Formats: sequence, C-alpha cells, structure tokens
Amino acid sequence: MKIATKHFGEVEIDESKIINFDKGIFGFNDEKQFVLLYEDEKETNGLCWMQSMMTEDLALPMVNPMFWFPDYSPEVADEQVAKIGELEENDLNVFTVVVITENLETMTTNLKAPILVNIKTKKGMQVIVENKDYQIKHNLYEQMKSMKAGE
Amino acid sequence: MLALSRKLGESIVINDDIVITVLDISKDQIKIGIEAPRSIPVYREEVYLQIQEENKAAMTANDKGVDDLKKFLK
Repeated sequence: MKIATKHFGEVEIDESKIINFDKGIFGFNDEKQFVLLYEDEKETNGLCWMQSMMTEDLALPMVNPMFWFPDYSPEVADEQVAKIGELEENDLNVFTVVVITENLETMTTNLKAPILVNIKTKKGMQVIVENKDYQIKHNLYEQMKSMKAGE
Repeated sequence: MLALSRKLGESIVINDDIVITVLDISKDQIKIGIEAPRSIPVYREEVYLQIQEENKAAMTANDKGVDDLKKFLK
C-alpha cells in the first residue's frame, strides 16, 4: 500500500512492516499504527523516522540509544512490556525520540520515555522508565560528538 | 471529579485491584501509597505531561537541523 509521508513523499509500505501501538504514544493516543522509515537502513547509528500511517504530518525522529549510549539500560516492569508480546532478546528494538532544533548543539533525546518495538509481534509502545537519572531532555549532540571522537 | 475525604492511614479502593493510601500528611504535602498490578503504569502527572510535550516538540523537527544532523552523522 502507498502512504503519504512527511519526509519521504509517497512511499510504498509493505503491510507486514506496520507496527501497532494499541495505546498510541504519549500525546498522540489515537495514533495506533506507525511504520519505521530509515534514512539509511544499513546504518545502525542513523536517524529513523516513526511515521504515522494515519497522519502524514506526524513523523517522530528517533535514534538507536544502544549505539549512542552504550550503557543505556532502561528499567521497565516485565508486566508492562508483556503488552507487546513475549520477547526474545533479538525481537526487541529500542528507540529514543529526538527533538531536532535549528542549532544542532541543543538537540536532545528522551531517555526517560523510549519506544519499544517487538519486531516479531509487530507491536510497539512508549514507556516511562524507572531509572531516576534518565532525562527527558538529554543533550544528544555532545554525546554524539564524544562517541564520534572515540571511534 | 469525585472528591473523597480521607484521614491519615485511610485508603481508597479502585476497581478491585488498586488501593491508594494516605501515608503521611504535612503542611503542604501528602505522601500517597499506591498498590496496583505492575501492568498498570503509574506516573507523576508533570512527568507524563512533559513527555507528551516532548513528543509534540519532536514532531516539529527543524528542517535545517535535520539536514545538519544527517551531514553530521555521515
């Protein structure tokens, strides 16, 4: 099926790639279906867009926190994660939402509320993690700069 | 909104499986205990609202910022 997207124009979507969010995401409770669109699918460090199937204008930029924050270990109750189905290690994809500002240096990512996707069940959810020191606005630019410097 | 008066140590039961108890009262703050199944998320409202706002802010990604970020990541 074809859908209109915010950043990639009209895109052909394989229906098996649609992720179902039974409760939507915070602030967008009525948005139940998204698809992940990658700037470059081969790059694990790259930018990924969570595009709404329903609303062309709704696309959230996300990054893979496991790449940029190697120590990232979100704590969520198993009973909550169970809502997206039983998880094997390789079935879980974790993303954090990025606020991209005009000045890159002030760009932040939300480590407090990651997006979890079970790629086997095609179900996703946004959770608020229990980790007390994880910030809603964590400066991403500084982190990317120091990670790139360490490459 | 339903308003119920409770004394220190008294509780409110919601839907058979949630119990909210007044644990402590001081001048301008009360401490509330919440017993609920772990499958039910419980959030401080200001955190919940802030995350809603953050998603909305993310949705309006700045075009110049997006281009700069893509270049930066190459």
